[in-house]
Amino acid sequence: MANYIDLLERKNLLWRGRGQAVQHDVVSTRFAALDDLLCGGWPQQGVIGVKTAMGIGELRLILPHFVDDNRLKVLINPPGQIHAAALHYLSLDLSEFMILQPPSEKEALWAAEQCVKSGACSALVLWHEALSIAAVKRLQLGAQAGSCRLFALYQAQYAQTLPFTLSVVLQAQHSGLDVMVKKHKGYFAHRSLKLENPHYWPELEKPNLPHVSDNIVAFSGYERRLTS
Amino acid sequence: MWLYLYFPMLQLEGMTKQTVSNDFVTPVVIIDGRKNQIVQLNDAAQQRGIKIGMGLGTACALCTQLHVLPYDDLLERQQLLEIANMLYQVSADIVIDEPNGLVLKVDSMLSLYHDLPSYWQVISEQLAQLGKSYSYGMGESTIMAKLLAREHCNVLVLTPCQKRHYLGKIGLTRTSLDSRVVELLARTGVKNVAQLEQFALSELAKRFDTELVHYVGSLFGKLKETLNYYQPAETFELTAPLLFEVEVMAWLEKPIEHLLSRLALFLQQRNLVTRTLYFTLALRDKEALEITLNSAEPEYKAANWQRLLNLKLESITLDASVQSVSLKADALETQHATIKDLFSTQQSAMSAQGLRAILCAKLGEQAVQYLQLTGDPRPEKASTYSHEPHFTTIKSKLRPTILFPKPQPLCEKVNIISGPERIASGWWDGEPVQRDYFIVQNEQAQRLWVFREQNNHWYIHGVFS
Repeated sequence: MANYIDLLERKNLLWRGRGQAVQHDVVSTRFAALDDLLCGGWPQQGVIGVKTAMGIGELRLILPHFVDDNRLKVLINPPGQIHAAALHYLSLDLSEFMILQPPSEKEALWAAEQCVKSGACSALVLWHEALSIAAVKRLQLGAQAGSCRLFALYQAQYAQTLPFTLSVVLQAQHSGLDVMVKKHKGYFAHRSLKLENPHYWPELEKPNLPHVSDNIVAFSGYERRLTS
Repeated sequence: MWLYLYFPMLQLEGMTKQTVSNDFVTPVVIIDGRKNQIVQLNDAAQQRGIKIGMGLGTACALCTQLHVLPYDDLLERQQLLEIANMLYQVSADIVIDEPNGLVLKVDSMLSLYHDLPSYWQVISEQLAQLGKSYSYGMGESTIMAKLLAREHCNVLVLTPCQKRHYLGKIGLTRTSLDSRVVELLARTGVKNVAQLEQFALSELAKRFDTELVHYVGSLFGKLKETLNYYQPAETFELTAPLLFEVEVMAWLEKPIEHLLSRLALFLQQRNLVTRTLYFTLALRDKEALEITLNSAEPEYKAANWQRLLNLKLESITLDASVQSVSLKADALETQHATIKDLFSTQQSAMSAQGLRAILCAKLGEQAVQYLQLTGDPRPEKASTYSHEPHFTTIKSKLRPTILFPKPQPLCEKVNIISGPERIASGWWDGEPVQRDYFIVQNEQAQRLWVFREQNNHWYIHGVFS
């Protein structure tokens, strides 16, 4: 029996769950609850898949930890114009941000690969709807060479499982964001968490004051005369 | 002083060097179709008694296995440019005299090489590397140097007596003078170039037209010639013609090897590297086959490109015979040293500038941008993209992370979270805005940034993504 097990192990047909736990380097997400969920934070290097709708708070979840080092941060194919003030508001250094708008999806992947393996970038955010297993594997290898983490943001449901280091699904809630871990290399997956808005983004939550809209003043006639 | 290099067998040598190995020599002649004359021939053809200037019929009668090629001036020009490019590394002023000559300006280079023999040594070393047969001549004008070179003079410094001897051998019919003028001169007893020297220009001007005066003046260096100097190309482009049409991919190896080694030399001399090569295989009766070769690492070495190309060629099948192979490389980058940290596990590190250069080369300048805060109160102008990174000290307010390029009409039910924030500004440049901004939440729980204009129209301007 033992012989068979040896044989199977040698042929890489048998995988042992125990003893495989490797200490992964992590970077704190700057959200205590999320750090707990992800066993310490975002992986230091690798490709992180984030399935999310647009505009529900996905960037707010990723951006805060960009303060951690001073290498480049690259945003590839953002769905609109990135507003510098929003990043500056989070005390991020604007000179570290590079925005790439490649003409095609294929070139976006090429650019992402160049960035991850260059070693000049610490993190990338890539908006891409046509990822493939081969593409993600290439990015993984690049990310290891360049010690870089790449957040791949997508909305589509992929038929096959992509080889992400970490795969999370974000779902908007009325007053917060659901974070579900679908896959986490080296850990048990299928954990989830609800981040409450009042806790994390108090600016974007309705304060409990009863009359907020009382101070709206009608545009004055004087100004109307000016523009007409 | 001018040095003229004359390459009589440019096309023939260019073709045979790439395709035929030494132990396989057939008589080859190149024939000028317009004149039906043999213009170039190899040793094997010479041994059979074929001579330059013969017609095709005579040549075929002398030798049955004769390989005949048409004369191609484009190809000669390309070869000539290649030689000029090579010599440009050692000599500054080069004039191209098509189809088969180069003129080098010697005077200006002597201050670098001290004397003529050492200058000539450098030039001849370069020429030896090329392996082309040539003859040379030196004179006080380009025309003089050319005449001497074509006479196979092959002496650098001529005494006046020797020069007269050489020029005396050159008949006026071999100069670029009009046949009418040559005839006129012949009637006066002037039959060779040496005899032209005895006339003063003013005397010639009285009796002949300006063309001759100009020619004689420039020949003996009395008049200045206008010349176009050679400028080396910025990008690499080279075509290797094939002696035979090739149907098997493996036989292309040798011409491609030649192209790659030329490329390697070109890049090395300029301290450049490239990531993309474009091969074009011209096919018989078919569209040309284009092969694009990408390397992840910037590269100039021929061996590394060869390895990549072999992988690529495995997947390609030829559906027609190949007539010529050309290679182009235009996205060239300067070589960057990679920084290696002894203690980090990271394999390589490139500088941010190096990365930017690569991205710009492939995607174009406009695709690579940085963020800049302008301090303008209008949200659409407060943040712009620029081509250089910026540091900022402007204090920022809470703004959406993603701004729509154009505000979109709001046509859904939303709940106001906070607001209003009134922005009334921009009167100074004719694009005034007067808006009340609100942060709202819609049914999909997206946090939007909407504004109301004076006329109570509502628009979505951005998303708190």
